Amino acid sequence: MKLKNLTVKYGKQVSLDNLSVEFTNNGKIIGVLGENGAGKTTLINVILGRLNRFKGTRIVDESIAYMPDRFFLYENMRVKQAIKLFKQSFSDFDEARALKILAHFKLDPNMKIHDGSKGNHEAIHLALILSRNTDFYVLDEPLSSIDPINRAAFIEAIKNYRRKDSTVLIVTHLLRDLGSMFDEIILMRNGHLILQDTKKNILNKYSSLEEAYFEEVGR
Amino acid sequence: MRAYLSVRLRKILPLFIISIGIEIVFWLLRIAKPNNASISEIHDLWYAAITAIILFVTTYQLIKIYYLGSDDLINILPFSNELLTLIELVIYSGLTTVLGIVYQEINVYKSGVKLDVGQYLFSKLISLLSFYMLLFAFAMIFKNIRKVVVGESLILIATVLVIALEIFLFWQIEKSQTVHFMIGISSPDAQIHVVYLNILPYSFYGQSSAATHNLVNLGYLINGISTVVSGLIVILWSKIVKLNYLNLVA
Repeated sequence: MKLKNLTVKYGKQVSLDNLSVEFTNNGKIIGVLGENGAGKTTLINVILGRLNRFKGTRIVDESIAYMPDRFFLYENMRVKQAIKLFKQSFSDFDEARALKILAHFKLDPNMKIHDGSKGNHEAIHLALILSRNTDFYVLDEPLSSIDPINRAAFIEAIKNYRRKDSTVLIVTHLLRDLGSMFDEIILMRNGHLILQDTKKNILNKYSSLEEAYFEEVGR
Repeated sequence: MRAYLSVRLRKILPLFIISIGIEIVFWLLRIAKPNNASISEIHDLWYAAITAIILFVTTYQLIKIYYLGSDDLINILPFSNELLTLIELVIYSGLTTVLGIVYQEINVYKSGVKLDVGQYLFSKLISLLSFYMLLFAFAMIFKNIRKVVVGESLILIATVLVIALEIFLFWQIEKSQTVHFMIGISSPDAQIHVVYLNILPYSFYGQSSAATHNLVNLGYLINGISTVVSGLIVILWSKIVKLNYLNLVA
């Protein structure tokens, strides 16, 4: 997945400024971090092919499963209907895996969506998205509705239930909770990529990921 | 696609099922009290109100799905937004036509006039399709405008202007043949003929049968041309212009 010299402007506002980034499908978990307005969502929209008016080059041949940060199922659906919908819509969808992930979260497939909590909804989303056999998974703020006690179950699901050789891009602000699972970090500021490195290298330079974030983004 | 249609229909159908259910209640009331004029008047008012509500709701839904991109389930599925919008507008047109047939059948029940279902179906369907396709074409033309208020206003103003233009065109061509006409009234009366110009019923009476024939055909022609031109704009625009598919209300 290659993005070269990307520039995206909304009127006078520059959302991405001559940004180049490359992701190889190497089974890693990559954290995409930055302040609000840094350009993370714009970058994801370009990757997903939803934002097509830009300057630069986008080369994306890999398959991508995307989990938005908003609730995307209808309230009147049952979980098993959502599974059926995904099974019929995506040829790479693994129903058995979806049921396994739901069991991991102790969720009943017969549950009506509107009977579930925000945390349940997020778990259902994650089960549907991780059950696709894609090269990349893009998760936008995956733990935003999850209480601290249940976050470990989500992290475990992301680590264990996705396609084994796939790469995960996680857009998040929850560095403290998710930092431990990242192999690589991307830091963005004002539409620029200011840092892309392995967690190991970053921790050689800084005492923690939080320190790296505040030092690099706060500059 | 079957599962998607089932999920989508479960979301759309309740409004139409309730409307048709109320129509059936009116049918029973009119059978039970055939000489009560108030029931007939309330029924006509109800139908005018519910068709306006359906038009408002479906217009908003179409703009929401295509222009605003705010239905994330539709965004996440691997089908093109254009295909799903097209399916959506066909469903709206079909269900609104079914509701119209039920209303017309109830209205002609006592009058002895036989409803030409085939002709009604064709005229109503093509009128609704011409409206929704026009809305779809403008939603696509203004899709890259990120200021929601500006984009939505432009879509609605442009659609209303084209409808007004169609009515003006119809009136200019056929004014010599029309003795009396009304816009916005749909009646099953045998003496009154209705032509749908886009979504507006254009009722006329007092002219010769040849003139009636011409007026009806001209209505079909204008709606047909409008539908085809809107369809061509949708195809060409989606091929020529780079469109963004962002959720504008996120």
